[in-house]
Amino acid sequence: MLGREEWLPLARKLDWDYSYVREDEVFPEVISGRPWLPHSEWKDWEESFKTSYREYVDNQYEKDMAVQAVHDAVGRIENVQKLALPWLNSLKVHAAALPLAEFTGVIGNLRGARFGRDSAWRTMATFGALDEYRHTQIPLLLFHRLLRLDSQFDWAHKFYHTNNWFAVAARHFFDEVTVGQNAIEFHVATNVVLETGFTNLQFVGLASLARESSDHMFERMVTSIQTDEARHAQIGHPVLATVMKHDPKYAQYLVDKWFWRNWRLFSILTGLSIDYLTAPDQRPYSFKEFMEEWIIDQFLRTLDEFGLEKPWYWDLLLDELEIYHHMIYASAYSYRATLWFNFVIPGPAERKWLRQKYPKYWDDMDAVWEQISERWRTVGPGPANELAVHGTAMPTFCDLCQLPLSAGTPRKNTARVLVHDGRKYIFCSEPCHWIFLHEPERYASHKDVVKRVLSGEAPAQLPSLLTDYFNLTPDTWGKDVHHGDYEWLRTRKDSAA
Amino acid sequence: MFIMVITSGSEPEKTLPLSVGRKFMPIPLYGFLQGDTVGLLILAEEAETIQALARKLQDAASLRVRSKDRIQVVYNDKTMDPAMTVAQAGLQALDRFDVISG
Repeated sequence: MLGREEWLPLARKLDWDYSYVREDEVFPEVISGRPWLPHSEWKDWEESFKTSYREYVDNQYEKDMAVQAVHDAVGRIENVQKLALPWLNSLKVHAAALPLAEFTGVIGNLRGARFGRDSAWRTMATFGALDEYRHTQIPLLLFHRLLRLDSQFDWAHKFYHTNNWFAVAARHFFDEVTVGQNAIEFHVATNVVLETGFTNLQFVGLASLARESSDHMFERMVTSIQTDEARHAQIGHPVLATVMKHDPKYAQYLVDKWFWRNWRLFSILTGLSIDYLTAPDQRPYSFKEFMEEWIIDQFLRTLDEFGLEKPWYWDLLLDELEIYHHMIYASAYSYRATLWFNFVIPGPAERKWLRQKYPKYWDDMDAVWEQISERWRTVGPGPANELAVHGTAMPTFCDLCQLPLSAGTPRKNTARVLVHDGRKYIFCSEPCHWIFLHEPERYASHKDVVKRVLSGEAPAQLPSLLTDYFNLTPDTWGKDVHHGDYEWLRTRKDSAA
Repeated sequence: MFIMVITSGSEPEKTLPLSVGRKFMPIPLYGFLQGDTVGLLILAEEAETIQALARKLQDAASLRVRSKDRIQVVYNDKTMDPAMTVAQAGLQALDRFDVISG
């Protein structure tokens, strides 16, 4: 019987020459990806961390047992009830956005497991698919149990099956990056950019936030997921290296495009959680500090490793670190009934903290919060007044990222209109516009929520839009955590100076 | 106050459902009010003035932005005459217009 060191190379490298079909028929470019190269160009594909199926199963078993043990110890309803209300709503955001997005990762990895160009790549992608199953099942299981505590946790499974505007945006992203993607672009976009660039580090940051918030269940869950990510994220690196060798311009495009698309979604999920939905005394850093220390530095090192340039929009991205998620949060607060989780207004102490962390544009954001606070003062607190402190006109969305037109600053929104093939499109920013122009055939027929309403596909009246199209109910749609009843709002003007 | 998605302002009675039977079809526009955090869909009437259009956007964004008396409407990088009508200004469906401090 062969020992591990003899058997593993045989099992990993099991390629052969085809005699009845051509190689480009077994691995068509449309689904394997470009540049299409003969296997001789891929045969040296190597993952840096090698594992056998038996080792994989043993490791995953141990990790699952550790998650279960932490859940048994601190994951009961009564433990979750002790968490701060804003953090509980950060959990609801992740409960919805995470599990089925991970499931789309199963599909993407299975595409790599069949259409990846070397057997070692295909073997690793098979493990990657098993990982993503795990990342679907664990949060679904854990968050489902919280349904007894709060019906908004129903969105853990429901979110991607709705036409809620944020689900439309998230689905637009994940459908492209995973479900409908060829093997090469999937592994570059997912492993190199999404996982190495964002989620691998995001999970470290989220675990830290969860620990500070005394949420040891969530901390253990994301830590456990992160250990899988760190392993399967390595698939993309030898893929990108080969693309870089044969078509560096295309490699640069893929990285530029996907870093921007990831940034858009990531800044909302993580930016809101760090800067608004974690109690101020439990924030280990601001979102901007987290980005600068963990994401930006790491990404620049990755670019350097491959001989890639910084994306052309780099200065714009650094400027967005100061403001984009703040624009989104204030907009979402004022349209909170369109979402499935609850919000909190930053009070004077938090606004002072935000001003210190984000001095460049905070004056403009402070004016917005002052105005919203003034509305609560005028109508008074209470659940009955929620809709009196809510937006009245329809917010608008980008035709690329499908997120609200909230880019730029309050002084100058960067939305831009494009006429393409006789149809009018609007984009939140120059990079979204640029991505559309590179692949209009991929994006042109998709309708954002505004155009669905204007065409009669979605209801024009908000109550119907919320219930019939966004799948919300009065019980589950988003509200102010305190229904406007803040001590600081009752007692004095909320000057954050 | 009850909220409506498609509105000509913050008053529910001004709601403009996109249905047949109206004498004039409204023109959907992307409105950006300086000081706001998101663009809004504003339904314009061909015959209404630029000044009225600006007021409509200010009303729609009043939860987040305090209304100002001195404002300007900018369309295609040009400042519009407030007395001009939407039709005279040439605003077409799904165009962008901005309301800025004047």
